[in-house]
Amino acid sequence: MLKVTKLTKSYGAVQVIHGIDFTVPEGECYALLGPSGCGKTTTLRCVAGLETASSGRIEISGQVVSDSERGIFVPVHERPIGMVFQSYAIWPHLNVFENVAYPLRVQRPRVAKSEIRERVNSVLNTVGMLKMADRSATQLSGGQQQRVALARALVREPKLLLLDEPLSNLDAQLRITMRNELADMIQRVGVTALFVTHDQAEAFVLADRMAVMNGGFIAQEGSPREIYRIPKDPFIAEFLGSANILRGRVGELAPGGRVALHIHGGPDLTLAYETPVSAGSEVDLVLRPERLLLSAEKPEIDTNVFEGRIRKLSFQGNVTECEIDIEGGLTLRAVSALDDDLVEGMPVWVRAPHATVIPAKQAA
Amino acid sequence: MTQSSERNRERRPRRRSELGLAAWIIIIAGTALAIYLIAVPLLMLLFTAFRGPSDFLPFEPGAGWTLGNLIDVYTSSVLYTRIIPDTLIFAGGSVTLSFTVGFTLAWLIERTDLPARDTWFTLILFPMLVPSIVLAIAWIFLMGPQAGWLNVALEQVFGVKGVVNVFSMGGLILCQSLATIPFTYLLLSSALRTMNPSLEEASGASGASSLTTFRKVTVPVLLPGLLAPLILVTLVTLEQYELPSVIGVPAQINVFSYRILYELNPADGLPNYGGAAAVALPFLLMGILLLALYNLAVRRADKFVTVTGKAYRQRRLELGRWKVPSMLFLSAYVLLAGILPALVLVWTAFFGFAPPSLASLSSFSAEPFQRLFASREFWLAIRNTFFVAAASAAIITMLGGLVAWVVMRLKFPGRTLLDFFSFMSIGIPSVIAGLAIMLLYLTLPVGIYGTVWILVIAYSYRLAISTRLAKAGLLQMHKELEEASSASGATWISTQWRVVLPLMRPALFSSFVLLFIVGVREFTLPLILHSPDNVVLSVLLWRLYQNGDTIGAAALGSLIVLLVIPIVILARRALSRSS
Repeated sequence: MLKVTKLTKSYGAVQVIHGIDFTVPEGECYALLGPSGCGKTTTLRCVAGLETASSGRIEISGQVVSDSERGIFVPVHERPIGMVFQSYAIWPHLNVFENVAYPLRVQRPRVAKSEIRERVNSVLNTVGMLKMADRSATQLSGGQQQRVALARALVREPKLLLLDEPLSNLDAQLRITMRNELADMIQRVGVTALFVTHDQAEAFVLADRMAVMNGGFIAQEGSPREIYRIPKDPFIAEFLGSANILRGRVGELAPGGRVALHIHGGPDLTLAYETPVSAGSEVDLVLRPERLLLSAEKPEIDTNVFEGRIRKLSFQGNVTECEIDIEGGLTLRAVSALDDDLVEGMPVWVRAPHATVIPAKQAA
Repeated sequence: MTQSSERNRERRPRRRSELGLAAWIIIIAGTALAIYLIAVPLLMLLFTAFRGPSDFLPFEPGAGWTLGNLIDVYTSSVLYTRIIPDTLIFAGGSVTLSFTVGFTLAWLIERTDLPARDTWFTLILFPMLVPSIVLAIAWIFLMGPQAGWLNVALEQVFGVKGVVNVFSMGGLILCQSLATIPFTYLLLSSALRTMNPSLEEASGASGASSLTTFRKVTVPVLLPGLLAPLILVTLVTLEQYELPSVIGVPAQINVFSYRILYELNPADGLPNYGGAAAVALPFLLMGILLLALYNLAVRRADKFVTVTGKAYRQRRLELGRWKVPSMLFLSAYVLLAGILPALVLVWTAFFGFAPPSLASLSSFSAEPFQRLFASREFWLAIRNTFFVAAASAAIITMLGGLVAWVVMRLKFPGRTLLDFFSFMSIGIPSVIAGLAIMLLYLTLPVGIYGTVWILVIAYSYRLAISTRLAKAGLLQMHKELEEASSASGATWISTQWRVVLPLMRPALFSSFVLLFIVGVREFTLPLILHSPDNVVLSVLLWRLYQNGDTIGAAALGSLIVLLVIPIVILARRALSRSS
């Protein structure tokens, strides 16, 4: 279990983490997701003990490893952690076996040689690298390095596994494969894990729960599905994948979960809502391009429907992206897998089965 | 984590660093030692300049504060009429010549299609590895006014006498340049190698000829990168003692480095410690000033993104009909700086002083070598030379590595100062370092004066090379490699031992080899600190020569050259790694 309470970190006058709290229950995988500079890596490094927190408290499995008030700071090598680094940091002077054996070799009291062999082989087996135990570290591909890094982090059975952008060093194709394998391996080992990423897809696949960070704060915390479907604000909505965001004012509440929504400078809309709204409030309507349904004829359902004209189609192989002009000079982006009967310039109806409405921020 | 330590932590809150106690002891002791090796002798020097009477050691009973030394030195006209002008002409002339030739050599080897470039590289390196004192004596054999080989040859061919005279300002400048050119060459070739060739290609693609490109692009782009090597070469030339004393003194040339030693052993008796220190001060200041300038120049050159640390595959210029003249130029340098000196030494050792002829072949004798091998002093000198060179290289490499680590990895406010401190050691002329060490250990009652240990300590002030190499090594090493070790549960010491040291091995090896070579070549320091027990090869050679045993000196010189050859191979590896 990991418990972070009121964590802050400043470099000189610059505060990069503004008092964040989160808890990772035993056996869960937790992601810190956010753009670069949001403080996610600093948070991870504070948990690891590679950075000293300015204030706040960090507890790993009931042991307080950092508490500014009581002046406790357990140095990194005494924390019960395993860590996978962004660069993997595989030591080039040691082979695969010795890289993985390292945490056991430096452990005091000493671990018996036979036990080291057994444990290293077993963890190499878990990550599928047993056959390459004698391979020099410099002869490994990116994916293999990642497995070795993971094995090294797991070999001393840490209470907490930390992963810093574990997939960002791999090329696109391999990243998807390794993402799924990594999720598998972490789940199989059952270790509590905290990882940092800027790629929402990684967080969705790997995390049980996640926190979206922005500007040193946790902007939203929840399960991947929750956050994706009901983002708290436009920043989160856009960060988690492309989104059409339309600002509007809620009109009269109608029975049956329907409400009239007036899009500013655009069409009026009958909205079927999932989140509570109040009459007369300013809201942002979030529409995911891949969840919009296009049809050449007017659909029978009359909620969440826009009428428009296809301005531009761009074929992307698996999907086609459409730009659709709607009333008032607004444009919607939609992604469709079925593009056979779409042509530029044709009139089209756009229906959004899932529309999320979030209260508009006054300043934004 | 044991239970008791956990409870302990709960009860008594404390803030602990990742570095343990042992780590702090190593870091602090190492840093303190580094500062001690450089700063304390210099402080002693400073005191000595202000203590008198001048033949007393600064803290000998009876000595007191005085300005007398400074007044004596700075009101004497010899400083202004001889020492300063001679030093400036000597340094200015040698730097100009060695820079011009060094740049030409570097450009020919790095940027043209000259054949056998690797061989040339090795041959050019050779004079840098032989102690200058050996070269000095060889050049006297070659260019001596009467019996020098060159003069004899000129006389036989053209019938003119005594055209070349090594014992003159011109001769001194020529010899010093020949000796410094390899160093200049190394600095400049790495500047040339790191220039982005697409800058020149872009000029070509814009319609400029090769010559125009060279004039309008190559030179202006390189210029900021040339300033730093220029300052460094000036610094190195200024601190030379060997050639100015062996060649300059018979020619009545009086540069400051010789003057300092002269004050210590004047013709008329008592050592003038205070005077020597007073002469040393402004030159020390000048050295440090040049170094600060060098730092500035390097920083300026860094701003030009065109000259980065990255080496590019260079497009080579076709020499065409310039190939033969270029080869002749290179041959002339290699002949004069390496091959002829080696030949003249070996010849003289076996056949005596007369230039090669059929008649002199009959005078073959291996007697000088037998005499050397039979002498206890020769074997002692060999042992001392290698022991002191190896021990000091090991100490400096370790200390330099530690200083580099402290400067790069620990975020503490004084680190730039420590960095500059270790770097400053380049700016301290070895004559001044020798004088300062002598003063310090004559005063301190530790009983190492006159032993090899004082040489080990004296040589160990040159921290700059190893700090620099170690810093470059650390720069290339991803910080996460160390963090991964800590995160694996390793203590600081464990991390250094198991990860940092093995990964730094190439850099540390280069540093050790280069410093070992510097140590073997060293002459000024062991001369100043010399005693019967700590004689080294270069000093032994000088003594043989001074006592009139020219043939014995030639024999020893040839043996030193022989010893250097395997080092050339090591040095090539070390140098190709470090650049």
